[in-house]
Amino acid sequence: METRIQYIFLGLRNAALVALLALTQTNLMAAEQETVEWDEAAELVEPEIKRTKVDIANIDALDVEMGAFFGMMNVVDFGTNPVSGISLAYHVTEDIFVTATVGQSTTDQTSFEVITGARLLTDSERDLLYYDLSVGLNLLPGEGFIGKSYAFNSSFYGIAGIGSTKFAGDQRFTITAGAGYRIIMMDWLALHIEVKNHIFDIDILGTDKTTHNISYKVGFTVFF
Amino acid sequence: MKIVRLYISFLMVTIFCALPETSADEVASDEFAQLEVIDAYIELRTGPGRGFPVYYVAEQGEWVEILKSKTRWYKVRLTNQKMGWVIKNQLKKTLTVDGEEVLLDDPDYQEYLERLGEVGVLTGDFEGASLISIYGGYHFTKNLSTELSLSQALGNFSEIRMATINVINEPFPELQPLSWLSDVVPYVDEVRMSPYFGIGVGVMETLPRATLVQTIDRTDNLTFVTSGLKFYLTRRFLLRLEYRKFVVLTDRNENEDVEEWKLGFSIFF
Repeated sequence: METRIQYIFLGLRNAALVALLALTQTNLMAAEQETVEWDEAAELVEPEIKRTKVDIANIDALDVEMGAFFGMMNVVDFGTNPVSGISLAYHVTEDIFVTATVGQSTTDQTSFEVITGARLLTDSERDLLYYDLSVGLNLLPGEGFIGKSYAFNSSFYGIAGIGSTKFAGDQRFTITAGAGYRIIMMDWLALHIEVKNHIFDIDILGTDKTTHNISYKVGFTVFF
Repeated sequence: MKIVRLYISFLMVTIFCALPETSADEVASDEFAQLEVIDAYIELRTGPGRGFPVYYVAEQGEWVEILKSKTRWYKVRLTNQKMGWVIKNQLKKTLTVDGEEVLLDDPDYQEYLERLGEVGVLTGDFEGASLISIYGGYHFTKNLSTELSLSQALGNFSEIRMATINVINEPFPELQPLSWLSDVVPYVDEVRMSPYFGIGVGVMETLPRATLVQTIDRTDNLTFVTSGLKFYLTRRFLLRLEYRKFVVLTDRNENEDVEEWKLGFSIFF
């Protein structure tokens, strides 16, 4: 009997609990809605703490290299003459870089022209202008020393690319290959010594002739 | 001589542009990011490369300032004024002033998929002429991008200069065509490529060779369809193979069909 009464009371209590819970929940929900309304009404307060986050992307990256060079360039049959130009490079990894170069030179008369007095080219056709797009590979990175108090990071690099040479009135498809030595004088300044072969066809005398034209030059570049 | 002077002034300008920036960097130390070493130690090398010797070690709890970076290397300064180059991976094991971990994401496949810009150089064949082409592209989504390219084709009879703009669609940007072989052949699932196709328009200037009997230069409009493959290589590199079929809209009665094949490398940002 006692158990039966207990059972009834328990049932009643459970029902009361459920009712109470339902009631409070609605109350809570209503309260929540009120809060939201109140929050929206009030102005949002922003915390005035200045966070110093480290954004690695903002660190001064020295991956772009720009500079100028001077040197000598030999053009087959047309003598060896000063060459100068500018270059732009992007260092993709510590080993690989891509570079664009523009250079210009003038050429002499050929021996044939000097002897016979004939003229193969006009003056403007004697000007040589080239560009090339190359990939470079840092082959022997290391350090060079001057005396006992100065050490400079340096690198021997190989470079190969394609481009165009405007010479004797025409643009000529050019393959370039070369090697250079880069001495990093300061983090932002480098000295280059470079030798490059410019391979292109010349057809001035009617038939195509593949020529290997060597340029050697010294240049300064700035990293930024 | 004028050109020499031009170069010298160019060099001066670049040096002067770089100078104040560098010296300011050295003086105002407050501006650099401060990091605390939480790993056992980080190694400072004499230069930005894996071959340079480790000459100093910053221990756990030490603070370092990041001054500048070169490729994956960061030049840091310790509180005792020692400076050296630290590889990116090691800097990951540092904390900021707030105690937050430093996030240094290496350019990887995920970044490749989310790339916005792309520049590259391609070389190949344009109807028998040697072709050099540079391009820059912008990605609207993973699948859709637009590209502007400048090309020069050097043939036996003429020089052709082209400027084109196109839209390309990459329907399967995450294709791993050989992944089903990965149980048998190792690393084969590393082959990640994205086929694409697109359409474009452009202008083309034809300059006959000087050695030919005088013919006049001409400029034509062109339209083209293109298709190709982009391979993700490593870090920031893509290999790209492309075919284009041009219709040159000439002034004559018949339009010309021209085919172009090219292969090259790109870098993405």
